[in-house]
Amino acid sequence: MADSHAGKTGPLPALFCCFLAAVLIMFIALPKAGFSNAERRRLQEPPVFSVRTVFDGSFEDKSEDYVSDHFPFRLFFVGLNSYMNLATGRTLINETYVGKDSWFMQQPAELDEQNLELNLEAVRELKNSLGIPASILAVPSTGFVMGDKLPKVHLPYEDMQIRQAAQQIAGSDMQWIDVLPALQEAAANGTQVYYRTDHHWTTAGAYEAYRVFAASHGFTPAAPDEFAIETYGGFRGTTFAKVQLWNVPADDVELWTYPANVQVTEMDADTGMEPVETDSFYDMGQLEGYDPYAVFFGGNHSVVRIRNEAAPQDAGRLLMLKDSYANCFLPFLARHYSEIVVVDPRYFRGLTDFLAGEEPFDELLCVYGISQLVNDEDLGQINL
Amino acid sequence: MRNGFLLGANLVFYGWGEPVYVFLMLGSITMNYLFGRWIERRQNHEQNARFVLVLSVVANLGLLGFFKYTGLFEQMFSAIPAFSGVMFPEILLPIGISFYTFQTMSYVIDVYREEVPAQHNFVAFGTYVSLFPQLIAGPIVRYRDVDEQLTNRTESLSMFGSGVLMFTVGLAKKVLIANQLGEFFNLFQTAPLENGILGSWIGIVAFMFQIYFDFSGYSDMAIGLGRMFGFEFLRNFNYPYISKSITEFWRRWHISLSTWFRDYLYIPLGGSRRGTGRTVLNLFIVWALTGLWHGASVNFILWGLYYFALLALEKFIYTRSGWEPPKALRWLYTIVCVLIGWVIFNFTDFALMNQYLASMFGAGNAALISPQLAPLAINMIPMMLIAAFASTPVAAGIYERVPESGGSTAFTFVFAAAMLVLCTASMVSGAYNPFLYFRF
Repeated sequence: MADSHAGKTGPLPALFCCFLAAVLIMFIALPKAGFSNAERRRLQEPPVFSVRTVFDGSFEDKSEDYVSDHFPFRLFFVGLNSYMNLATGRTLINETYVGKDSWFMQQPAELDEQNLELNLEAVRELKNSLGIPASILAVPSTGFVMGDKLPKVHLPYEDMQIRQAAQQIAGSDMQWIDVLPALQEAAANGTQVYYRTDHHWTTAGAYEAYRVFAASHGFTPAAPDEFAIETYGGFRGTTFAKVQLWNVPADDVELWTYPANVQVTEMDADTGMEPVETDSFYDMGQLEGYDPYAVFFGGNHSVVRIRNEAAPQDAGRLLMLKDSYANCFLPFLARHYSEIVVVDPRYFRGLTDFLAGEEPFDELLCVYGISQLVNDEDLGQINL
Repeated sequence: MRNGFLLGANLVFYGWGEPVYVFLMLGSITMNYLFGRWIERRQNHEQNARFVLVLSVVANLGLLGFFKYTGLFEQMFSAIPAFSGVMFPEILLPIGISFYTFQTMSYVIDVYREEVPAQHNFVAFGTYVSLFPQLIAGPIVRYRDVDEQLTNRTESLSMFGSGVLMFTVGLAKKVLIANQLGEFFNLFQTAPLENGILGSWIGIVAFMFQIYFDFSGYSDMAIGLGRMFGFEFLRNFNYPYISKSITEFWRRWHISLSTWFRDYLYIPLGGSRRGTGRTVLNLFIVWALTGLWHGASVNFILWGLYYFALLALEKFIYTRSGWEPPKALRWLYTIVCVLIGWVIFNFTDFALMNQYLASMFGAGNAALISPQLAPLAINMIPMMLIAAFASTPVAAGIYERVPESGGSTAFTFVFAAAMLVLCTASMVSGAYNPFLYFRF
């Protein structure tokens, strides 16, 4: 039995030993990064070898993570694994749907009605304590709007159910800004309203929502020809990062610029760093970095303050609660308010105290990706 | 010298997963080494060594019982009002203890039966007990099967090559098939009543494949690695899912365990030689313990007894009925029984187990399959078909019959290389990687 394959397995010992040797040599020789740009996460550091860590098992566990994280050509293997999944009919890889034409879309969010209500009630409570009108703008999921790009068999996107539930909870005292029809129409007309390789909407998509927002608030939005559109290529975003297929065409990031006279302050309460003062919405250096989407305001901050020096006389003050979707939406809004204070509840605590030291606001706006609106765990806590 | 190096490697390997319990295993090795020498000494002096045998069995089972079954005893004791206040220590299960304890017991019993001489070389004996390829997951290697090989083995390049192939196939079974189906089956376990009737059947079929490819994959890796070191272990699985009866199933599933129980428990109890009533009792005992070996939880005992009932039916009722159903029907009966058995095996929580069984037979979600699961199940069809094909001897049969040639060597090389690369890709991607038989 042992030698029945003798002739056929001749070269295998060499293969096996060479494979192990190659992996070992490359692992030792290749430099180790501390952070993976492509995967957007810290990589495991070399574990500390000591009697204690060996005996409590932590050395062994961390070693395994270390080997996995710094494995030679890791991204190649992640991509290969994705191809293996696709070859066996599985299009949902690492919570991401691999669709047609290099579209990578997040899987649907779980509908948690309880949490959605918690979040919206927190917004209502805030609105009532400030005595100002509130609006909710939820950005639909990529997979729902770009449904024709999804693989034929896919989990159901429950955007319609979430929308219905949210509208019901918002009731008549909070305005629901429905951007879905506008996005669907724009997509049908060939505008790329979402990124193919990232879960966010594009600036063009945000523009469509801006038009809807303007209509709901009774002011005229700026026309597209009032903007100078700068295009920057080479963007492969979050959804691509999870799949790492090879030779995927990159996305373009568009900056819809206009002559704005603004003073922007970006504050990070959680890192303790000094606030950044700038006169631009854009942090151009980010375009070269691992997350070009962070060109908008340098990414997410605890609080961003946008003072519009050229605002019209009757322009009001806007308080915004948001996640990262709002970042490319804000430049459009900035010209219509004298000041916008943007709070990201994921990175900020103590809103009530903060607001006590602020001048009164005229309006409250909540801009979230729809899955975050349902599942976010910090929005519901803002009043605490 | 070779054994010394191997023993050291074994201990590092075991210690990697169990930095403290490696000493327990060393203790067990020492204890059983001494028992073996003691029995041999007494037998050489024409003295009765029986009490030593009993002592060793009690010691080994005591060790196993303490480390593995304390939790279960605590559960059972607390059900009795008089003992409900007794505190039991919290014990963590040392990996592989069920495997290596059964190996050491087989050694001592074989020495007592004078089937093998006691091993005088401590290092050789230690190597036997701790041999890393099969320490964690079997097969249960009986001392008599490797006695010669411990001291007289020849590694050969062709054996090494054959070992590489087997190891690679085992690795692929585990990483490329078992892990994927396991991740899929997880979706069906949390709320069984939501699955839908078709959903629950698909789920348990996925589990059926998962546990086979997981366990047989590890066995193949163990046997392959063994070959690389010059050991020839007996194979542990022989395509169990093509069985046409439960009796046949247990000749093809976890062969080393059922063989162990047959040789060390069933036959000493009298086997089938003492009449129907006694045979039934013997079967009952053996199968209750087989179930219990699989895990320190009541559902495993139930699983063992489930098979006891089916085997007794086959042995005493079906075979005497004179009816010979068509092969396809016998296979269908077997596979359905096995699937139901896996439900019992998988759920330690009886509430969930009942829900799952109920949903397999129509209770719960009225839909054929939950809409949250249907798209994922459709995506899994190619994997299930691959798993089904790989559960049959077809591929292996073709490979065996193809003559040696440049072509078949090239194919083997490409196949092995592809499997190594794909498995690396899957493992490096941080994929799901449990081991189901870990309770042992």
